[in-house]
Amino acid sequence: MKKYEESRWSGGRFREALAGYGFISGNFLGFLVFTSIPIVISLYLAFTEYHVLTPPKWVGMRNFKEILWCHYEDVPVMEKVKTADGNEFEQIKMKTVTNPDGTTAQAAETVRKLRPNDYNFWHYSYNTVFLMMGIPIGMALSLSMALIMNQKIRGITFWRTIFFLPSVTAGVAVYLLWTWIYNPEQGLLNLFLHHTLGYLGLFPEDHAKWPQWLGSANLAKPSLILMGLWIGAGGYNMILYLAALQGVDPQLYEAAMIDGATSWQKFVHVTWPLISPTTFFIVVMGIIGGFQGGFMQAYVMTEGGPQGSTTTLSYYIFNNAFTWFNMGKAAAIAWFLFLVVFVMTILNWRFGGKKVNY
Amino acid sequence: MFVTITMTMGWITYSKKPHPIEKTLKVLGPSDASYVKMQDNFNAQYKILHPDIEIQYISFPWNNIWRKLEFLIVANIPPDVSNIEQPYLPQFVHMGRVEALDEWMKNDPEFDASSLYKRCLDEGNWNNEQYALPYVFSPVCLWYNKTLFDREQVAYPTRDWNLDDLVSAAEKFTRDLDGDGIPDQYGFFTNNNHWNRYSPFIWMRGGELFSADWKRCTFDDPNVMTSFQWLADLALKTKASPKPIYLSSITSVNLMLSGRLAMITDTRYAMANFYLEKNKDKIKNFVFDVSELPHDKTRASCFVVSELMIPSTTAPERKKMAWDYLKFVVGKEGQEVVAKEDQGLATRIETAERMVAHPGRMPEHDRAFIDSVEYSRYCYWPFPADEQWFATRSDLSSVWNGQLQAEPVCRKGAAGMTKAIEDFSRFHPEKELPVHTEFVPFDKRSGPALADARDETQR
Repeated sequence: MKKYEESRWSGGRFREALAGYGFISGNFLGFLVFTSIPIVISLYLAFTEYHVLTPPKWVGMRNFKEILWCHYEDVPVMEKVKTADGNEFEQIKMKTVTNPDGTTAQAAETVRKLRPNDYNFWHYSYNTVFLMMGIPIGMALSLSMALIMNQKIRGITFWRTIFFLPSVTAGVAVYLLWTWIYNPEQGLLNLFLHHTLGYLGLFPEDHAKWPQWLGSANLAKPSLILMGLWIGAGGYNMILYLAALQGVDPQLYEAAMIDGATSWQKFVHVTWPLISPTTFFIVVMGIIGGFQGGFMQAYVMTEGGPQGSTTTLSYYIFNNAFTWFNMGKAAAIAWFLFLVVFVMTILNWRFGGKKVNY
Repeated sequence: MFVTITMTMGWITYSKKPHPIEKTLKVLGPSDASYVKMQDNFNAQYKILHPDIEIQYISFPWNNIWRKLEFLIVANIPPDVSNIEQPYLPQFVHMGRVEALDEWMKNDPEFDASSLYKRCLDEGNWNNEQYALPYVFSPVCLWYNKTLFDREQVAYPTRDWNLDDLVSAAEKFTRDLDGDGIPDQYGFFTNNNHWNRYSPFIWMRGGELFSADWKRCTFDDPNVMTSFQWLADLALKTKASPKPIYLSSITSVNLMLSGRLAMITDTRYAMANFYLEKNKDKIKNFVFDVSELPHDKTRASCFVVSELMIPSTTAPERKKMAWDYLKFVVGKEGQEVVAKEDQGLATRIETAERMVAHPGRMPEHDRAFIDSVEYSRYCYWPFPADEQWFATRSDLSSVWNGQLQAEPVCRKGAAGMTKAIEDFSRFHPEKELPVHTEFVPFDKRSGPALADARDETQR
């Protein structure tokens, strides 16, 4: 036994191991220097007040309390008001107060409410999760397109290329293009809708009532989702599904056909279960990417507006770190985001993994 | 073969003898073409005066220069001299990263502060110390398309216009030329996404965005809220102005060049667009000029000033070299370079006066920029309120598009920013925010008084 143990690390095996470690050392050093050490430092910074130009100052849990805790606040009461031309807007409800000297004045009516310390953080978290609604829609579209692209017809390679093109086009160029498309007065989308739905009476004639798209707090996020679907539907997810579909044994479809299965039944009972590993992978990666996404769109197209409706957590982290000199808070938000993504991924593996057929 | 070529290329690249580090002056500045060209001319001129000093220009996009500076300081390789954007100077001062220049100015007999516009110098003066020297600037004035005015038979703007005159004239231009229901021609536009565009209209109504000591945000001042709503109503009610979202895909200058916008507010830097080679044909089709901004209770304008500062982390033995460079740029030779570029105005009074005297060339009333200096200031905000400031700006974009009213946005902004400032003071009781030394309210500034008796002609 002793001789055997000694021989494990002698001569050739040791040299082989050394060579292996030598080959990966370059990559490992890069990972250490540019990834793992900065991650550890960012964990430390999350507990400090760090404005970059001054040394970090330890503040304990203050950054986390600032983003996650609540406090009581006197909040102005808002009331809805209608103008003569039918527009509705909110304004602060005012009340008459009597001053100590007996004179009266107008003051805002307030109510004591429990408010988050950082309302913006929760607002931007909501934006991030909202934008992730595009993930299941995108997956469905990718799968549909993959099913179509899986046909053996002439020119299919050409069509696969065409559908894949948006995902390889430079991001900034695409975002600028869509900023034009979404222009409420002269943009392609509104003009198209005006010339089509307008004739059916389904689109307003009055330009003031045209959808503002990126200029509307209600429509900005759906606009970004739509753009994301255009970019991503025919992208890498479609390629993954295409590969998965081509890995399904055709004999299974023949057997199903013999049993009298309809197309839908073939899809539900043959195709869908057999591509479930790919679906699971896309879901996990989609959730991880979704929580980290939204930065480019906010930076290039909307600057996070209107009313912060397109600011995501990643853009918020960027602004805290590189615009407002608030590295400590940015690190705290980044670590919170990491924990959320970590927990979601664990839950996905635990519960989603059970649905996967291999 | 590949190795030989690589080695040869490396030898060619590095065979030039490096300049001694103590004789190389590192200057951080904008990467915009006009600034790079100006810097090349500074370098050439400086070489004549100091042939032994090599200037190494580190260029970076203008709106992110402060980020580059921040990281160069942190990396311990600060430039010797740096451009600094006005809104970020107070924060760098607060963090002690800017060299105070008073001693240098006092002890150098060759430096003459009185040769520069005092209002421009004031921009770099915080806590009673001079931290930056201005070398090129421009107030915001009113550019107008004279050809369009002639066609619509509207009288040209003068310095005696008030806001009602502006709106009344602008309304006359708004037209739907092709009958599709969308106005194609507008009277006036001011880019409300730039604080240096909307702030004059607040100041001239007597409003201030922050208290002088920066302890409180005064967005909820009635003058401020009324001003914001007025700006929004230009597009929403009077229709004198296109909505900002309409101009998200085209600049206001381009709209003006296409002959479909009668007036815009902009700095003298807009001239660069008018005289671009690609716009030569468009310029043939109209005559443009400039006027001071209209007034209300008082006169007010905002100006953008390019300033140079010395990071405090610059090595002591290099600060003299840095100071000499600063002195050169704001001195006679350096300001001649600025004048030659002919975009922003030189901050040297004598040079600027010569710049605006150009008979026979547009704009005819270029002097309006100089006349605006006395009542111009930059729109600063206290940096602890950074996040809320940006959030309020985002909300204001919905005011411009008619989705929100100005009052609740202003009140929310005021509350948020004041709270942020109070939190900062609570966490840092030992620190005071820097104070802009010459924060003179507009109604108390010297200079051309509000003209009750109207001049019939512009100066």
